[in-house]
Amino acid sequence: MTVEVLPVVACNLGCTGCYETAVFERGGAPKLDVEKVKTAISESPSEGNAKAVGFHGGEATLTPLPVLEEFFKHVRSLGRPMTIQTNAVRVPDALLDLLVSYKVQVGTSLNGPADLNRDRRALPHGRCATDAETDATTAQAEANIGRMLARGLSVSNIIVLSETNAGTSEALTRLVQWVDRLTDLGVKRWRFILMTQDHGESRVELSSERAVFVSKVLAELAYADTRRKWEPFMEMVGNLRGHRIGSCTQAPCDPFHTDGVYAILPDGSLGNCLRPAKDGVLTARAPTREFHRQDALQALPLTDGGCGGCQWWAWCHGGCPGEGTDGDWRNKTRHCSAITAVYELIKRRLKGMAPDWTPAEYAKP
Amino acid sequence: MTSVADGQRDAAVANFSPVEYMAFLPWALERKLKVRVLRETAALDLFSHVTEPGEGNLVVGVARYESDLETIDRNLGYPLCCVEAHWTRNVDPMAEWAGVHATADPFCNPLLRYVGLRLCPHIPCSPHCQESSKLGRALAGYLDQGVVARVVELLSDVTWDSYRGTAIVTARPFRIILGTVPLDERVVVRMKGAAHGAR
Repeated sequence: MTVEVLPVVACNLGCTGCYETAVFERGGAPKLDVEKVKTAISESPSEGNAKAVGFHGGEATLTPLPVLEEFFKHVRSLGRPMTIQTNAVRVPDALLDLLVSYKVQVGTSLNGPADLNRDRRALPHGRCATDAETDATTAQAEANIGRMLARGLSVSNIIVLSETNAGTSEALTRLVQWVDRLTDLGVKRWRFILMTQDHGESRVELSSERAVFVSKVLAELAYADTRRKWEPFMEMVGNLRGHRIGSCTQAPCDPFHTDGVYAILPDGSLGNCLRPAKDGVLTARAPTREFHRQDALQALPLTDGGCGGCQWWAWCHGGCPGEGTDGDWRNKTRHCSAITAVYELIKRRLKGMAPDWTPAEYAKP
Repeated sequence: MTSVADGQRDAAVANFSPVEYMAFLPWALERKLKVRVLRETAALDLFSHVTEPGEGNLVVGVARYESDLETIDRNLGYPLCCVEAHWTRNVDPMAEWAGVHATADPFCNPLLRYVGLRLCPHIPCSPHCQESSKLGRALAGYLDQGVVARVVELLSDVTWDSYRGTAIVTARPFRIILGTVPLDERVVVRMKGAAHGAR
């Protein structure tokens, strides 16, 4: 579980496929109440993975700096590490100093260099950014990643895969070269996410066939070079080896009590991961977890769109509800074929090396 | 129960814990009502269509005349059209209203019954059942009118969306997620509308 503070539910970019689009468009996010957020942080779970407090958004760097510093100071007083997720476009020196001073681990979101990052439009939703403006913003973000690395910050990056950066072999090759170059510069970990597009922009979500191909290529590349700490591919190996399920997208999830994200909303109330919030409603965190979705998916055979009888159920659980087919969290992930293709690949590899190997039931929390 | 004492209905059925029942009994006897424990079941925690044998919950019938208790199922005051509809249903009654986007009277809206928010005590035969609306209004007369106004407001726009065994019931301020009869097709019922003649 990640404790995620959402001080700002707004963004300076307008990314195609952003899962918070509907939330931004709907508006009505509560106003920031610094004291209540601090209280909620103090009361948040702090065991295991939840120890770190993450600042998320919207775009967390839009939080006024004095407020951000107050939050950092508070988290440090609790003896907890902290992270921030940002598009890295807006990193003034004062913010950089703050991140260094509080040893904040930085997660950035950049889909590649120049034109490969054009899903991340330079202006918020509803405003039209040119390609030139978007490329300039991308260059700025990349430069900021360099500045953060130069100051010794730990940086990891999320890449959302779409037609824009993985639709052709040429694009995919350039993307991988860029990732390797930034890895050499010091970006430690990478997470590749297949775009899930549920809003009315022009379609760039990869087709199911392409998603399978791209996932297998990236998995093979990840396993070919130990420098490549690429998720979810490394986690998926761990899953089959009986480790605790590495990513929340493959653990059982109740979208109204998300285990992956313990969200603290701007008014200090508790919420959930916003990925399943297709209607833009920030739902309050339900007091208990329910698994209707998993029960229904297990009851339905694969041929009817369920997961009944699937050999990978114990390591996938129908996938992330935010990726549900047709934008409906009750369905299994639309990326089912890509996930199973990677698991098949891992199984073939491991069985090739140790023929009597069988996937281990994951270590239940 | 008050509606039975007042002659609004011939009989009624309610669930009580044994402690609640002991508190209720003197109230009923004082009003010369006939009371019978019809069944003892496992305690009810939440909304349920069915009960299991057990302890902790008493299903109690109340009537003004002993004879009405003998045939209580016929004397509960539900409109005949709804009784008939009840016996012909074989899936979740809401699923039979598939595709309904009705301008419905909140006094006849059963979509929030899972959390006890209803003014009509039964599932009407249709979202437009006038007899059910009438009964809902009559029974609402026994409640605090401030509460009734708030319930009417909540029942004025509700969506019931069922798919593969999970229903999402959305009212303006909240959602209810519950298990339901698994159906292959997505079924959506929306009931929207102000109370006719109410504020």
